[in-house]
Amino acid sequence: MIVRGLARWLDRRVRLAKFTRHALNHIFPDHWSFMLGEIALYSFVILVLTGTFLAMFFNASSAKEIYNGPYLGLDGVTMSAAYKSVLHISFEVPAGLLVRQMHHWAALIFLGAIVAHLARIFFTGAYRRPREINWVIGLTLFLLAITNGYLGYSIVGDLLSGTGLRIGYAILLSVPVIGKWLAYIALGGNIPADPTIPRLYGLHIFVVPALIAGLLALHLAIIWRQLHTNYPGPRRTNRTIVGSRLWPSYTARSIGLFLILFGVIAGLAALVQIDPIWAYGPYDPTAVLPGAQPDWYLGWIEGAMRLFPGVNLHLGPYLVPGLFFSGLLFPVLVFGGLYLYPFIEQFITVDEQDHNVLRMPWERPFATALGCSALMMMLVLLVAAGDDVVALALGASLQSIRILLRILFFAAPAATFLVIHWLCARRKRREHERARADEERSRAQVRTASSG
Amino acid sequence: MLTQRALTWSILALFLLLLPTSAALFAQTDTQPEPDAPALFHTHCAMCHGEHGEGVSALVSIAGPSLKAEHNPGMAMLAIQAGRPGMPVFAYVLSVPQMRALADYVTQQLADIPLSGGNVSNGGVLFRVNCAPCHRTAVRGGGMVFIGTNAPDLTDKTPAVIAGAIRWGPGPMPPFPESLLDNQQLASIVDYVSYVQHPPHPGGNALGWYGPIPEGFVAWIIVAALIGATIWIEKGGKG
Amino acid sequence: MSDDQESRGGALLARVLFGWEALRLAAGQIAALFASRQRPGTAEEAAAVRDAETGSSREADRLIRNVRHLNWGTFLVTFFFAVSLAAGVSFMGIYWVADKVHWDAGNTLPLGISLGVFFGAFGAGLILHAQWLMRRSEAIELRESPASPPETREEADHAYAAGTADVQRRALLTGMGTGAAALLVAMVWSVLRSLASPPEPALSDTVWTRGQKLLRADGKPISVDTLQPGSTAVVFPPGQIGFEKAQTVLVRVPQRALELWPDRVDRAAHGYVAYSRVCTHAGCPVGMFEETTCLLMCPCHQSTFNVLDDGQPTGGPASRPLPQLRLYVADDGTLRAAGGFSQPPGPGYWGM
Repeated sequence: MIVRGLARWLDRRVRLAKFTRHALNHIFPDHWSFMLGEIALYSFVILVLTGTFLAMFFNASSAKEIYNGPYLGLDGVTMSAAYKSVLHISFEVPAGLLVRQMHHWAALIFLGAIVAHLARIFFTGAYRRPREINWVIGLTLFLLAITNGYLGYSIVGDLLSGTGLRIGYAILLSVPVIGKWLAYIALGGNIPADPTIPRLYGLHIFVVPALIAGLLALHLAIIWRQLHTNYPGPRRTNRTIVGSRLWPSYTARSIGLFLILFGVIAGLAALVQIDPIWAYGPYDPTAVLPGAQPDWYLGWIEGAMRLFPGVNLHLGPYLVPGLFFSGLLFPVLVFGGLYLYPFIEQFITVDEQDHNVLRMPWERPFATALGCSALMMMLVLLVAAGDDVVALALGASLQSIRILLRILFFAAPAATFLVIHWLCARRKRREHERARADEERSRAQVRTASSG
Repeated sequence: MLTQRALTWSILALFLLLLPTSAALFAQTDTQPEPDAPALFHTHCAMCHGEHGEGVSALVSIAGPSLKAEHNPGMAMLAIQAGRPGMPVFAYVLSVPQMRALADYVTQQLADIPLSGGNVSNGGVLFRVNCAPCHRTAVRGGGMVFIGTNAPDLTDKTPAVIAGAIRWGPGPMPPFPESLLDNQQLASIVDYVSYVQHPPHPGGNALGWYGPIPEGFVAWIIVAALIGATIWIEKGGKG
Repeated sequence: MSDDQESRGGALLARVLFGWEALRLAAGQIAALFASRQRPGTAEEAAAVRDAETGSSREADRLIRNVRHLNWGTFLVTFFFAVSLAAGVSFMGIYWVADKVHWDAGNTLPLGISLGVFFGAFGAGLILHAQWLMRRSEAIELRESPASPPETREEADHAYAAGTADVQRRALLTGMGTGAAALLVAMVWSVLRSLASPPEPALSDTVWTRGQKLLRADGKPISVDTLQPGSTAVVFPPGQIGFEKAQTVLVRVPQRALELWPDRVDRAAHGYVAYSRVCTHAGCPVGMFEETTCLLMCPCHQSTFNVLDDGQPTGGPASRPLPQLRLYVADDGTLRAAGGFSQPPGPGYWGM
């Protein structure tokens, strides 16, 4: 009754009924793989909620302060005000550690869901015309999410985040020609500079989240207008959309997913520790620790930086920094390839049609095999990013593990491509044979029916 | 049963036979002169711990740790009597007074690194610059390239072993002489390591203290579980 | 000419201009060899479209599943909602008791579990409600074309053209606007300068000057007998203690290692060698020293540098040697820098 009254009141003022009817009747395809993006969306919501709580306590300042708190291992130690405030959040603010761990776990899951969503889009061909815009926006969101994760990791001021910041600074320095200006402008000078933490904090809590929120709204608005794709099946054609309507079943399921995600993240934050900053200590430019990895979504770049051999390339008057190849050129090529993929495919296959029905991964052996081999390459790099941890955990020599990984970097994607291509082609052949047999049979039935 | 009874009796007889002998042994040791601790140390300990208890390195690991900071006679006695991982049991080789004399010799004559007056958080600052590059801030060891060896985990190391290793530099580890780290700084580092062996560590499972790598692994397990949840939520959906 | 033809013509022109056409045609032929579009039969498609045309209302939705089991479903959903509420109450209890008595970070566990169960169980209840107590139908509707209908497009074109016709001296507007925009970009570009002091000469500074003592973090100088062979220390020039770029690793090379490299003995004053402690790869402190092989290693990406061989990289991703600091022993027995680092310390940049 109240809802209805409110709706009437609003409708009297802004004419809502037509939109509401459309919205409630909006059709969503029923398939789990359409919910991967929703996991990412809801993780972002959780990030904003928990991040707002943390921002109430975080002190984004590089000023040197002395810690006197409950964690005795750091009692009397000089540290940045930022790090001190995060210790305060962890040990003294009621539920502070819980919210901090939820925030960090939500970030890892946010990016995991984005990658899963991206993989689904790629393997089913959902990026094809007319949805190339959303592919581009989605990739930009992915980049922004990686950026914001890195920024959040960097502003805490512990030894691990300071080390990550140093490496980020070195990558910025390796940008051709303008690198030194870029690094100084972005971070305020040679790391650790006083403006670094406040600057990154502003980006982390305002600029990048605002961009994410804006592009996310656009991403959703476009798919709302274009409608989702359908998996192939009866009644699913290029001109129809089939699924359940938003109200009520889909609403209940979607909100249910959000709550389950929230619950899982809270439970995870309770049971599994993430980023125990007190164990790393404050950032000190002369201190360092092995096992200094970034969060997983940057692991592939870290892995590339470890595997790439030391090369001195002279280019005209310049000596190219080794980090340029692994830390800058490689990620640029990966993302460049991702951005351009739909357009390259359109160009090569002379495809100028709209596609509203997905194709199963095995129907496109080349694309599927390509995607799988790219994922395999990322996996090898991810392992390479933790090769010292692997060496420690297995008690093996780091050098031999690294040689193995350098071979795998080339061999594993190639093997994956061949195997997946073979599997998909076989499945495709069998499906076609079955379809032909079905067709024959139905034709025969029609013939017997008409003759009888 | 005849055999069983015979066995019992023979054991008993043997015991009775041995009793006076062992008593004589004890009596004999009682009348022995004071055991010569330096000579005993030279014979039994120096091969692994060095002539002056400074410690001996094998190629990649420790043959015997330095005893230079071993101030606790009770701990020393226990180690000699019952052995340690990699160290033999001396209870069958040496008499009790001999072992006691050795323990006293080690703790009073050889041990010259005082372990007092340390400060945990100062030790942490020193540890992060000097030790953490190999052993990690969490003192759980670290992976290294060099010769197939990794920096060891320090969670099971006693203060004496840690202090001895810092001064003496076992295996590939560089030594830190007193001119570089004074005794108070050394004691601080030892205190920090002892503290971080069992620190207050809230927030759930520490994932082996390995940092972002296992965290990412867990995150992906959770993402997989969430995908499982969406399959349940969308059960029967044909897409 | 229809819109589709027009755009296709444009695209064709562009491709011919860029010399793509031949490539594209060849690619098209290859693609055609592999393409086997599995499209629904036209009859089937037509039936689906008919369905969608007639069935674009809730009443026409095809019922897939009715309410599964009213009583059992009610029980399930109520159970989950009740668990959720109980967890919420326990969250409040734990929080307020902990807050009243003494907050301890260890409370994260019960607090998080109850929060997790609160949300998780409510979410599960909602989904069970949807699965057991809601009818599920399959709706079908027609998709609109993503493009606007040609009439609408023409109306928009007309609105633009009619409005534009009202404006005189359009070139002036465009010209001045473009100029101002370019100027604005340049202005913003120069304001970026406020964000940082110039990187030079700071970046190419070689830190040390001749005669400076080597100071440890606590300010004590290093003399010839401070280190024993095989040990290392972190040293700084006076006035720059703790500075990131100034950190220098001092190694006293073991005697046996010096004997292995006789040609380098004279370079090492009393066996002392010093290098920048900032890795030339990504700038982490080269914190590990391995005594038996005389290698310095960076813990971030495991680059190794040979202390005996002028800091040359021997493994890992680093490609440049560590900048070296030549030393001499002053009359008072203290170690002194013989000049600056052999190169600017820190990770590489273009124009180094």
